[in-house]
Amino acid sequence: MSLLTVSNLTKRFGDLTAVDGASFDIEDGEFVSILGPSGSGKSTILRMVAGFEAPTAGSMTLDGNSLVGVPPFERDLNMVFQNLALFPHLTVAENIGYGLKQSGVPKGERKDRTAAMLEMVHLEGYGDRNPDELSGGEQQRVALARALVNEPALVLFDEPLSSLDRKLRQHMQSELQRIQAETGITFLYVTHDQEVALSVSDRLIVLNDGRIEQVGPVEELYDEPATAFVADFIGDVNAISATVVERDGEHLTLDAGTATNLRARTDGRWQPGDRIDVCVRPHEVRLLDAVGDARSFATRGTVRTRSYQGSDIVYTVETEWGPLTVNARERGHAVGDEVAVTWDAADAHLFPAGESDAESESTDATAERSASESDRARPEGA
Amino acid sequence: MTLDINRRNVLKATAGLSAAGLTGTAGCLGGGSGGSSRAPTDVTEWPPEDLEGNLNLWNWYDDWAEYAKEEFGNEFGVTVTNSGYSSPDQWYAKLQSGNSEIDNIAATTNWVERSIENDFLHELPVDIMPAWENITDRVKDVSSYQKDGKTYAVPESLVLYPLTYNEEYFDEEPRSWDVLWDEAHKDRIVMWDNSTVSCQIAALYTGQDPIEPDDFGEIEEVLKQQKPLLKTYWGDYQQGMSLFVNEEAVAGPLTMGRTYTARFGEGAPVNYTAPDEGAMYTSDLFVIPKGAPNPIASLQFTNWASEKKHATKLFETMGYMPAVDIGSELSEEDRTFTEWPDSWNLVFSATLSDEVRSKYDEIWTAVKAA
Amino acid sequence: MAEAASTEERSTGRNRRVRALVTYLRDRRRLRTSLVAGPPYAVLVLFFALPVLTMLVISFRLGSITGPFTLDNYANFLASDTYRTVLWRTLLVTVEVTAIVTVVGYALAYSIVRFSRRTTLLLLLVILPFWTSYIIRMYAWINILQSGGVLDSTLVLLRVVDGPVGLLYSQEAVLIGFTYVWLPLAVLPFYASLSNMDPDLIEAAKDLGAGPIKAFFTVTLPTTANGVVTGIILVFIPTFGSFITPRLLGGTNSIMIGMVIENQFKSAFNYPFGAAIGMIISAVVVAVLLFGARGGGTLFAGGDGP
Repeated sequence: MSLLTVSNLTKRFGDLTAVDGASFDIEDGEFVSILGPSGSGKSTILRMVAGFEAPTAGSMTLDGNSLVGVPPFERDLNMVFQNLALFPHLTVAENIGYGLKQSGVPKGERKDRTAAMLEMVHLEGYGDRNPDELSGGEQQRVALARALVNEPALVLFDEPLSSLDRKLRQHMQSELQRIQAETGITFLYVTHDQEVALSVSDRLIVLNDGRIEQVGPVEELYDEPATAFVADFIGDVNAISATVVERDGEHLTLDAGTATNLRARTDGRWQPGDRIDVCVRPHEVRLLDAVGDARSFATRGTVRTRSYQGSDIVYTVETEWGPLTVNARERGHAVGDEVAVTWDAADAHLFPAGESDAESESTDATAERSASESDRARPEGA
Repeated sequence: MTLDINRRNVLKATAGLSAAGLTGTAGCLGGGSGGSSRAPTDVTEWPPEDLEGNLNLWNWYDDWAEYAKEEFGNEFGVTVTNSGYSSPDQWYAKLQSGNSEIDNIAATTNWVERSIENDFLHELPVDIMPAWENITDRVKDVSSYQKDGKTYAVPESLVLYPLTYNEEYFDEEPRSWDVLWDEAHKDRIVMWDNSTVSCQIAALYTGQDPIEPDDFGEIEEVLKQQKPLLKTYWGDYQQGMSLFVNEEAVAGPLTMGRTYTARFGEGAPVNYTAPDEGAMYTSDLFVIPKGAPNPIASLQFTNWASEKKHATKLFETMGYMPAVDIGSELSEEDRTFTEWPDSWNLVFSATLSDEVRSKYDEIWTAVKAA
Repeated sequence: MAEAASTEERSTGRNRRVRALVTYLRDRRRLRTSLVAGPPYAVLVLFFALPVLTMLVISFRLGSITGPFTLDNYANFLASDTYRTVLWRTLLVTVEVTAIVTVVGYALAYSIVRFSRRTTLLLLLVILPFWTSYIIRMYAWINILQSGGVLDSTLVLLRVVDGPVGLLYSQEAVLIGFTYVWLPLAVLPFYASLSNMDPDLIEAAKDLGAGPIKAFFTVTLPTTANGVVTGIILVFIPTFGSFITPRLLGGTNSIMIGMVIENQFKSAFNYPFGAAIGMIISAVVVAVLLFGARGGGTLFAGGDGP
């Protein structure tokens, strides 16, 4: 039996449907992230699980017991808030001990368990300080300790790391993983930041516009995105609109309205005349010295930008199919160089045309998109 | 020339400086030194000439003052303003800090005496003022507004502190203050939250001299006895009147003016009387404070206000007994209301000694805290 | 040419003087500070410190403000049962009023912050009575509370009571009047602190197992303690010195120390004694507030640690 079972969970605020029939399970001891652009409904799901919002429809069970109608203070789960919500009038130790006090744990035991928590989050000796005397990272640890001290079945995270700088965030990510491994407590983590989600989670739930797009292990979502949105949201992608010209078994010839046709290999049921989006990951695009080197197809392009990203170089290459982002090991190309680009026909992911565009027609979705775009723009995103 | 500075000169200078300082302080506390260069006594022939264009009244008979502003202003081409104050200490504080604003005050006797003592008032040439003749002898005789043969005020009205009662509740006019100590009227009687008025009623009730009582203990005792019988101590004239108009109170001290308004303005069945033990009365007077910017217009106003027509208006709007004999000008019911039988034992509310006043204050505080 | 030269000379001369002044000021931090901080301090000294000092001096005079120096005024006050009784009663009334206003005002501010959409309108309504004079508001209450007044007729109409109650001229009427008058003073700081409070704190408390009441007393109230203390001070001080409300709405037992002071200035003419009482109650108010702040400090400090 799953620890948390959510089925057909729906939340409407007036005319707005924030969460639309979400269903997923979380197993005991898992680290699962809900990933989606802001406004996609991920925080609403979290707040329903925590008990701060009542679902409009659907059910939730924790350890087999229904959560619907159970007030937050009676649920066997704790939350780490986005702004941490540390009690400003209490010391660090009092903050951590607050939950124990509420559940009537005797003072002596409270003290011991608080001390143990301080030790676990490496804040020994900070117990008597006030939260506002602590750095951002230290405050994160206090919030985490406060949520863990009751040893709940499930800990919820509402993007608590988003305010930290990158280095600290990465450090906290590994701390989260360490602590989760130590405690064995199930974590449900909500974020719009794919880097965090990809690096810490066992499984991902990708949410868009209130609906779940795909649930699965991180690699599966990356390698086999179920929708253009997932492909786009998890890692970077180059998208080219094209029309199927010819089908020969698994092999498709695609016309992008340019001189050179694209090729793709798929078991999908595409027919000539179908309009599709061809998506290809930047690291799957290869740079060649000459077009003739390609086994199937290639086109020419000019290097427009070149940025060094540690082991990889990220190029932007202007081609007839539009600008393509390329992650490559080859360091030999400079801005302005003529290159040829290609990829393995089997590496392209094909989706019905305009799917992701259609999603972005509502203004909300546009805002979400721009948020996700800004994430993708981060070079480390891939 | 060299200055020969020796110790004595320095001392002298210092003394001079500190004297100047003292004078300065006195100037701050004392009567105004600014204002017009003319004084009312400069007027030797009536009517006075060259009236100033403005006149700033401090008259607490608000409705009458409205009338006076209009009438006097039109007749003499003077722009009149009025500050309707609620407590004499408001204008007295201004005189203390040096008046440069007030031309004419309607002031209660005790405060006039204080002002005369402190040299805050202009002397008035009453002998040449035609309306001076209109003031009744009764008022002229009792009010203490003269000092060293000089006159500093012209009486405006007589203010009685009577027993006001409900005519329907009482079959006949109560003749004694003891109605305010009668269990039969429990919760229907009131007293005035004013240490002097209340203690003096208690003094009269216990047969003592209200100005110089000899048994303060008895006054305190009867006031404490009275306390559980009372509805409340009223503290504001309007509030006192509405107690009678709403018939929450059937007997208690109220002013003649408020009784008049309650009776004729609000149609309440109330009347007033001076009980046999006696009733206190005082007068309000027109004074011209030193420092007045428009003393001559103020003098003309003082005379004008004491003309029968305008004095009658004072009674008709406010219900207070004018200092002018206006019997001939009044309606029948108004004349009946203003008649004070000769049999009434009226006691002039002379200024209390500091000792009696503070003793009254202590008693009253103790009674209220009991 | 000569003229132009001299103009230039003059202007550079002026510039030099300005520059010299700037340099002068730059080198003298203290002078600069006092130029900025001076006026407010001057106002404080002129309109607060000096008058209080004057009152203090007067309070040691005998009989009048120019009388000889004496300690009698203080001795008389402290020796008199009457004045001590009045002071004690004033303190009781003030504490009652402050408690009522704090509870009602906090509930009001809380519901405005947490449950209302038209916050601005509601706040405006709270402040609205301030646009009417104090006395007129008291007279409105006389009309409401008096025997057969608005309250009585409403109660009779609703058949809650058979005849008029006549709440006016009683201690209850005084409490009602005070509560009404000072409520806005308390609601505003309460509102400010409540609206500044992070609502997540309440959710965090609930998430950690606190029921609504526990969450209120362990989180909401302590985190808004500053606003609560401000509101309490704003209500306590003016109530302590009040004389109009008890006089207009109170019965024969509603004397407060402010009325005694007022009498010294208005009818007993014993300014020094009035000043002495004023000094004494100022000391009492400061003492009560300091004591209260300390007590409140521990009250609001929250949990006693894990």
